[in-house]
Amino acid sequence: MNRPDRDREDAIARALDILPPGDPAASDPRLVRDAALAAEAQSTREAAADVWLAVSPLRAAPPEVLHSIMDKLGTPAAAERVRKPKLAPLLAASGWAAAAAVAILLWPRHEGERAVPIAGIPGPPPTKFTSRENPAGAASGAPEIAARDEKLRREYSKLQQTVDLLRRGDLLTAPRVMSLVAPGASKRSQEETRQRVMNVLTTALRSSLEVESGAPGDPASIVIERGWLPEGIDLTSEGAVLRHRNFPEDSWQELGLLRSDEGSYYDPTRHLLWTADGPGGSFLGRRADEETTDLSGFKPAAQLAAVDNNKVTRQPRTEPEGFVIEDPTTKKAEVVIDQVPPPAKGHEHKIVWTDDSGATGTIPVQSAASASISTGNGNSAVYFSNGGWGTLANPYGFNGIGNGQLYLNSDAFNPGFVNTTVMASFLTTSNVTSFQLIEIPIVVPGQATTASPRPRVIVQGGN
Amino acid sequence: MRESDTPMAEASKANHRDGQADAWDGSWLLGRIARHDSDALAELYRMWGDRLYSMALHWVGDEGAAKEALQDCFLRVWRRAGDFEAEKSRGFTWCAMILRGLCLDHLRKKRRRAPVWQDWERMPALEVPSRSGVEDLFFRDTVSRVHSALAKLDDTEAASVRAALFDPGTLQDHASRWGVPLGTAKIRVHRAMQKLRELLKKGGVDEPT
Repeated sequence: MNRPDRDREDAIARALDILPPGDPAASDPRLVRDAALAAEAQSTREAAADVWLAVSPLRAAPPEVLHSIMDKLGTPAAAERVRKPKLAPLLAASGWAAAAAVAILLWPRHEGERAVPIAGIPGPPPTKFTSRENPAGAASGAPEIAARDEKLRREYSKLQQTVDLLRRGDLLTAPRVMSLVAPGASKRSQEETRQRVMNVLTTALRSSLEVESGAPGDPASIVIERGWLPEGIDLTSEGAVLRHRNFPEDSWQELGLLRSDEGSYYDPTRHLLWTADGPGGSFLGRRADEETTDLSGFKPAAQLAAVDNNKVTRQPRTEPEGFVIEDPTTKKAEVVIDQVPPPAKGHEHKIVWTDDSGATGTIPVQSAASASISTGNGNSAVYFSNGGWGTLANPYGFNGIGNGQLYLNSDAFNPGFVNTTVMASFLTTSNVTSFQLIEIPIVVPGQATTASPRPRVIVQGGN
Repeated sequence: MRESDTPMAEASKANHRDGQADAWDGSWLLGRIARHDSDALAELYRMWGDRLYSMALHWVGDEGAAKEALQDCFLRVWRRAGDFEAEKSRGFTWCAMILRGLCLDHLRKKRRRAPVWQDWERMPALEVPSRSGVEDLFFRDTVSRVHSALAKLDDTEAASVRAALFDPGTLQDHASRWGVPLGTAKIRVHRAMQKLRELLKKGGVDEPT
């Protein structure tokens, strides 16, 4: 046996803390200083941690341990700020579940398996969770899953980092934010814009799905403290009753729920009937048997508004509005524009920006139907759907191609489609100084157009 | 000093995906903890407490001891977060190694008071448990990769990995039990762990032969 092999064996044994007492390798400095051996040791630790994690049946961490830790540190308040009594560990502590809830609440839905992250907002979790029940299938799909999961995690990380930077007011590295508004609409101040983006991002991270066990005597076996159910997780599959302590009544339209005159809600996607239970915004959710339950009294927001406008307390935004969030370090700009009307017939949308070197960039916008998944450098795959949560059968994807090329044209729209969200990302060489989303006629070579040649500005920002 | 207690300067860059730890990995919280932000420590507990407690309980098989290990782990994270280097290790691995050290201490102390091989019978199995259809979304990919990788180990390799990762004994103990010299036990563990690492790196999928 040669020396390098023996060193590697010692490095691994030392990394796992299984060297016998007195073994000279325990104090051999070469095992630490040699980069290759140190890499071997670290790689072993990472593998070991993965195995320990995977083979340990999940249990919720006792809340009293956190209190005890904080007591010992002399900061008991920190434990109080983290509310987590008897959480169902797989869901409650899942950053992914939180991220999924965020994505669902902030952005319209899309199909899980085609999901791609959006401008710093992660997509919902995959809806098929059968890989471990089917090892063969898991094996064949594992690299793809790994790549996608990794990408989602990074997007989630970026979101967290952005919030952290904004929270700390670290202006040297914090992203520059440009507010985009429709022509004629009042502009937000820099501070208002920054505050709004921070609120959106912070709310996003706080909107985690928190689930715990029901208390004895409570008809609900599962209690949702806050957040909303991600797609693909069915908590009522065995007839369980859910309690939502902070039912999101303000967001029922966005969540695609139907509402009755009595103030109950029906979730047609999960076949859940939510009824108020006691004061304080608590609702009980039960699976509704559509054959035996009369659901005719439940109506979507549009129908209720027609009956009585006063009953719809939350007016949806109708003016397009958005942000350009530019990372000064990476020179990458990410754009989110909500409530974008579909292009008029024979027209298309384009993004036009100028940076402070005077250079101008243009990005046509297109639907997923005619786009392919981006693997280009620096361009996030993006996504859009209409604002009608749960009402559109075919959500559309938005995908970057090459140098941030996005296309959106009227041919792609569903007839029932109203407004949508446009997301884009592009690389700049210097700061973006002006930005517009415009609508222009589609020019077909050799064919005269009757459409107005003047561009219509949907939103604009900057100079 | 045990390896897991040493500063992360001893760790390497090789296994890191892009040379920079993700905020998802807890690095952003560990950075704040290093500045003695107790809210960040509470957040870290919320983020990883379940997993770390589960691991401790799996190792020591005793709720009281697992709680104590979890508490000591977070107190140690509080004191040593400044040593953590995000570009050299995943934050979760760093915390897991601290916890593992604490659990090993507990098991080895206990073992000194018990027949030597009693632990072997009670040692955790090397298999991914069923979670009744509920998935660990945050670490879903990891669980899937481990599940696939473990299935690719032969019996000898699986026994070596199981001993190395779960038996509180040392390589000398393993060598005695296997009836081989210490050097052979080192080779067995090295080869088994090397194969496991390679499988995990490839997503748990073996190269076609």
